[in-house]
Amino acid sequence: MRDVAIIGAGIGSRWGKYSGSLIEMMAKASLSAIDDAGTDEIDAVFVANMGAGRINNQTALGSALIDYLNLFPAVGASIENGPASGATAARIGYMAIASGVHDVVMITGGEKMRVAPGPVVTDFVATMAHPEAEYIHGITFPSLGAFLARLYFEKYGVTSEDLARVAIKNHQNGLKNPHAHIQQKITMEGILTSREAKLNNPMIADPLHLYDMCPVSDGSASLILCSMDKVQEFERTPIIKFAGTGQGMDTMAVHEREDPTFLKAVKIASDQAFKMAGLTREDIDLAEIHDAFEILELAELESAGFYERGKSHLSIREGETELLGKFPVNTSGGLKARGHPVGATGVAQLCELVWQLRGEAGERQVPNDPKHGYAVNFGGFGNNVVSTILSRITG
Amino acid sequence: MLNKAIKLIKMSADEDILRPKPNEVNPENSPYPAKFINLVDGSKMVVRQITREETKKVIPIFYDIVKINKDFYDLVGARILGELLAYVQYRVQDEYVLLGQVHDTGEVLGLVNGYLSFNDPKIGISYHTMTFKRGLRVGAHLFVAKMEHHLDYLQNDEVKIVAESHIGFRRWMEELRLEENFDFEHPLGGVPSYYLTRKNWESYVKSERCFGTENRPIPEEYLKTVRENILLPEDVTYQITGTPKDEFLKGF
Repeated sequence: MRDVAIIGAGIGSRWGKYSGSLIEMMAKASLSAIDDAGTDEIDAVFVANMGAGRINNQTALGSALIDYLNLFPAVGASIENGPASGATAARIGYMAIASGVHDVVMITGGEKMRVAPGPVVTDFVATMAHPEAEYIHGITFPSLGAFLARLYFEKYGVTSEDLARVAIKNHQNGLKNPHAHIQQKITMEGILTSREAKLNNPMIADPLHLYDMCPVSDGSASLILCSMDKVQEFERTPIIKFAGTGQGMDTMAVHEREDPTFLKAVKIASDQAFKMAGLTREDIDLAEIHDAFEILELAELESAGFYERGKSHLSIREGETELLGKFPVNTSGGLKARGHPVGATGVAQLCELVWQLRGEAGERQVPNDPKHGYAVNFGGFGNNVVSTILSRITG
Repeated sequence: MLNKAIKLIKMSADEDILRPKPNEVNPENSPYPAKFINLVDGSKMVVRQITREETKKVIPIFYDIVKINKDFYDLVGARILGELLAYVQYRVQDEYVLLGQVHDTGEVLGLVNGYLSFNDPKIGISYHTMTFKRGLRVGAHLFVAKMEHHLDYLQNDEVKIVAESHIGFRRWMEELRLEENFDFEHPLGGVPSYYLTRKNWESYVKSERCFGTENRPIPEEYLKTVRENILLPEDVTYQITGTPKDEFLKGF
């Protein structure tokens, strides 16, 4: 197995609503990553996307992107794994290079969701749920998030204030990210404690309010992966190593899990990634966590092994996970503020780690020369999860 | 140019006929008392009724808004522009304009307007609601402030409402559970009219949606700031669309 490096990362335009086509949007991110890498000699392109066939009436995105960018003779394919499509595509790209099949692979994630009305998007996302046990009964993902939050409230004493603290932190980071969909300061008074909060931050799925969940976004992100033995050809330093990857599964239906507050697939994926990277949790300097709902940031941090079960909310109360805290989490703004175009999210998480590890994250750069970053990309409602660890090995 | 036009109209002998006669209770003698509302970002939005002179300072922003072909801003902007021009030139029965401004800068966040029926002074007519800075729920607060003006201060018993945009329809008709009033031909025309009745206002809309009422009277320094600084967004196109004006208008 060959080692793999990431030599390019790019997000083409600010996330939110994109007026052009899906392929054009993905091409912008791809070109940005190509510019960053300094090469367009790409052997293969894996496109991460969940719903273009349904929402944008377009399939075979790998072929379309190669054609649009004239990357021939590169070969390509689309990768669909729900909201974990991005990290899954990166993992497959890693395997393609590590196995010796390809030398340079481009991973581009993109989703154009805002062409569809809210109820259609909610339904589209809900198709990831168990078809007979959940979906046909009207389960939506906000309702699954609400169930998890309610259990956490009852079992561990997590409060609405804790969820608001996570949201405030991620919005604060999003203000420093020019690509973020939501660049909006929020305050505890504005979203929770004032009388007006009832209108400012309405209840969506009890106990989750509007600001406890991510927005629906258009967006794209791209990475260029390269075999470590070829990396010197591209003079892109510091070198970022694709140090660890893991994937874990759990039951589709959440109610079939022994303890729904424990995200088993996150643990499996994380343990694999750490084992492969030869690192411990204490080695990680920052993390990108899949906070489609703010309760997930807390639950994933615990299931990934960064905090004891039922204790992560204490860290947010202490400010540990803030940008200048002991363990910065979601420096990009996370899904909450950067946005969540589902196929692009996992790729963008890795872009953020690349920029942070290179020291190129601008206003949101974490201090103290970070060397190792962790990301978790959460598919379904935790039934298919991919964890990734990136490490800076030079510079 | 606007001042010149007003001057000419005032000199006309027909002005007495052209200018509507105020109802007994009207926005001039029963103005909306200013309040402030806490927004999500921690800022305070002062909501107040503005004068004709102040309205003239807001009008220029609409010459940009009419070019924003997104979420019906162009259509609604064009209509508000006409309504504001009519207001400052006394061509609408008992019209008023409420402005939302940040309390310590005067930044203009949004605007609502409406007027009173001369056939039945118990009927209020809602004109429009427009937000210049999105994502703060400014429109939701301002719309309810407008209802508060009609039902609590202008002594109307019902307010007739239509929506041109899908966002407006969801926010007002659906969220406020407005009742159908399809027989009424709203002056904005075309689309079916809904209305907010006093009964519904008092039974749930006011308690669930009307905020900032405890913040009266507002501190004098807030009023002074917002009166002295009607600060329009530098690039309202960017604020509304996320794209700078020059880029947005390519090919307009």
